[in-house]
Amino acid sequence: MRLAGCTYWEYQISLDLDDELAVDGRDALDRHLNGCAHCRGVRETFAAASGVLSSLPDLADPGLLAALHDDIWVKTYRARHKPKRRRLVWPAVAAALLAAFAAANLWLGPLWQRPALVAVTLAPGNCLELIFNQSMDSTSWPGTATVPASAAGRLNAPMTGGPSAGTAAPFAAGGSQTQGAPQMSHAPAMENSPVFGTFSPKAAPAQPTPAPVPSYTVSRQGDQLVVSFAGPLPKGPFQILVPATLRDRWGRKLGRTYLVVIDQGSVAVKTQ
Amino acid sequence: MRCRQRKHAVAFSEDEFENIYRTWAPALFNFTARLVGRQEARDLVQETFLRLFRTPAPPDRVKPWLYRVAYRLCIDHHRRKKAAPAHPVSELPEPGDPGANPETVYLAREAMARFLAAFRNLPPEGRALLLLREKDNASYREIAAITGITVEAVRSRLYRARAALHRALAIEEAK
Repeated sequence: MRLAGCTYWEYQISLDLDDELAVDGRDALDRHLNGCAHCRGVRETFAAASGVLSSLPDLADPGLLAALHDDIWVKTYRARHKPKRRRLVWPAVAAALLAAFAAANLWLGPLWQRPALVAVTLAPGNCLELIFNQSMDSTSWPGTATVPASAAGRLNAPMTGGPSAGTAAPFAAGGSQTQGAPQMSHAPAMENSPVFGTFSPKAAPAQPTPAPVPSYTVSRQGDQLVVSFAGPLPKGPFQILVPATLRDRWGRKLGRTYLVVIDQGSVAVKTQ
Repeated sequence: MRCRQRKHAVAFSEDEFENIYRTWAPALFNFTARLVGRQEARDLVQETFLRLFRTPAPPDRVKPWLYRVAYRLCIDHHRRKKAAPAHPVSELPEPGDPGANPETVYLAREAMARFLAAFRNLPPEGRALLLLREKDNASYREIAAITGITVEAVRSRLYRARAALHRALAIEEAK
């Protein structure tokens, strides 16, 4: 019959089977076992189970262990000594980059190409068309730059310096809207020069009064600039300045001022 | 074609690894097979030795290291499967003496079958503790190192496993 304190003694039996009981504890356990049939049965069961467990047959037969050994060997040391083909990582990366660069060039055009003016034509209706090599961002243009006719007329005087010095043709210049007056490199007119000493300046040869250059408007239409004149063009050669702010495909800003020389239907352009 | 060796270091030489395998693989396979079954034991023992191969530094004591890894693999396996292992019939003892009484042999096989059935009904942690203690003669300290519990916990859990086996055997006897 199981007593109330038998749980304690069952625990002691378990320790005794593992030789974990001191001599005093073993004596006390023996005294309890002499008077408790339940705990004696538990001890017999525990001991029998211990005997059966310790004598369980081996499950690992030599063939199975040899096969397992081969599996492990293949995955460890044999794999370690197996020659390995050199990985073609860097050549593959270089080839991929080259292919991407070529595809980008085909798709977007030459990546190294900078925005540039490729052609200038005179269009009907007093218009001048500046054609660029690629479409421009609309925000990169100054919008519409209108040069008032008065400013063009004031500069419409013979020039004694600057890039076109020595020519007898009348000149006109255009500029950005913010500055009002066009910016152009030139010397002041002779009548406005300061006078040093008393002498009579040599009279300049008489020249015909050039016709005034009409004011003009610069506007953007796609990948071209259109310069529209407010009035008829003079017959003689004249030049205007067309300011533009370009952006390349990487977003870098490129400021350009084009000097356009117009002479009776022919147009030439210089970059300032 | 240019070739190169794999460069990662291993903790053991080939001979050392071979000796470890020959020394501990049979016992480890027995321990694992009684926890998860023979088929799964093959995979888990293989995984245990592969982890030993990949470990960067050699463990101080190989046996507890191997058993600890195998024990954790078995516990993880039980958590995934939630199924009792299928013990092969060949685990039952064969008649040792051809001239023995067939009735005695039959009764012995029946008793062993009942014992194994009761043993299979124990939780895997209890089975592992009993196997380590009774079959592999591991000390409490070694069992604690393998299972990751304290020595006091080993004492009490071993008692609980024995008591559970005692109850399971009583149930099997009553069937």
